[in-house]
Amino acid sequence: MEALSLSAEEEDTETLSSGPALPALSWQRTALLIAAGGAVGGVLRELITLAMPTISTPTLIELPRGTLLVNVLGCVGLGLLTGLLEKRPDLPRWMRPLLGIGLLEGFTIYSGLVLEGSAMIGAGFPALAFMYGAITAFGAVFGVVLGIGLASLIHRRTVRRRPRRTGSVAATGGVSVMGADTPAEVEPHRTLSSSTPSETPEEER
Amino acid sequence: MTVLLAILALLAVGVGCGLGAVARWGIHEGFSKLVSSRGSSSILVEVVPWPTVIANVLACFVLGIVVTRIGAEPTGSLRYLFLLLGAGLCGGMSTLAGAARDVVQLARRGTPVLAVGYLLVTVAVGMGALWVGVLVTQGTGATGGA
Repeated sequence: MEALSLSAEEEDTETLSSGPALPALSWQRTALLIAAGGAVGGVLRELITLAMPTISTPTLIELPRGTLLVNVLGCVGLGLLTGLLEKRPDLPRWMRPLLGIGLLEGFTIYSGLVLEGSAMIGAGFPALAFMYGAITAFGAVFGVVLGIGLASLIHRRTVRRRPRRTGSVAATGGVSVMGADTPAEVEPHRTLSSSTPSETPEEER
Repeated sequence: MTVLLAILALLAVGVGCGLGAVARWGIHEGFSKLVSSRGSSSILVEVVPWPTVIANVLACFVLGIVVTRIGAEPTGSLRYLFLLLGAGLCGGMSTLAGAARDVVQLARRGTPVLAVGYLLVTVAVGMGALWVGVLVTQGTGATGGA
């Protein structure tokens, strides 16, 4: 019994030290997953950018289609992943660090957008820069909304096709929400539904 | 030979982007720890997804330094350094999808004004950070290329 309680305590401290984001995975493993996902995302982005070259000289600047495509695609993907993880808390723990934080968030590029926008302004096309920024912002937000919508559509279809399995899934999800008086049970759920890190202090007090 | 060089370029982007993604996650974790240790309860700390903002601003700042030091379109071996640091590290650290997801989550939680404000601030502050990076590097007189 003593050994059991000790191990439970150890688990608790581990959860705290790895931060509220990922209680189930060690931080080393999480970092490796993120690095792998980020590397793949970066290479994919570079390939797309290379495949869709655009002219940007001081007198003629094209809309950077490659970056735009990368960003909108990545946003649809992240919306899809976020929606799926919200609906299905039973999905494996490695999915968020590898596919979300690593692959998709590394795939999309905000600094490139800013650099291209600045280059447009520097070359004397502030209107084009503004248009590019507005298109990207709209596309990104719309992409995330589209992704989340797609996720709920997929979820509904799987529920209809396999009523037994997803039914039990929904039940466990409901339990973890309803048993909100035990913080350990709430934590994974909160993690998946992302992302106010500052909820922790209130529960600790 | 050209194939090898292309693979080297992709490798540079991949390594940089992996490092950048881990750095972004580190910022997120560090910020979460800081907030929970200080026990702050201000609404601006609670609701606004600061880690993404910090990562994006930092990435743009670093990109400003990189662009000033080695130029936006360098040739030769400097090109791989730019791919490693610019497209890789800064590209991996900054994230548009994360910012867009934050905006949508803010709107879903019933704070659409904050969501729109966050979107505008993200665009404006990123550009500002890039220029600060450029100016800081130029100010120290360390301009190397282009």
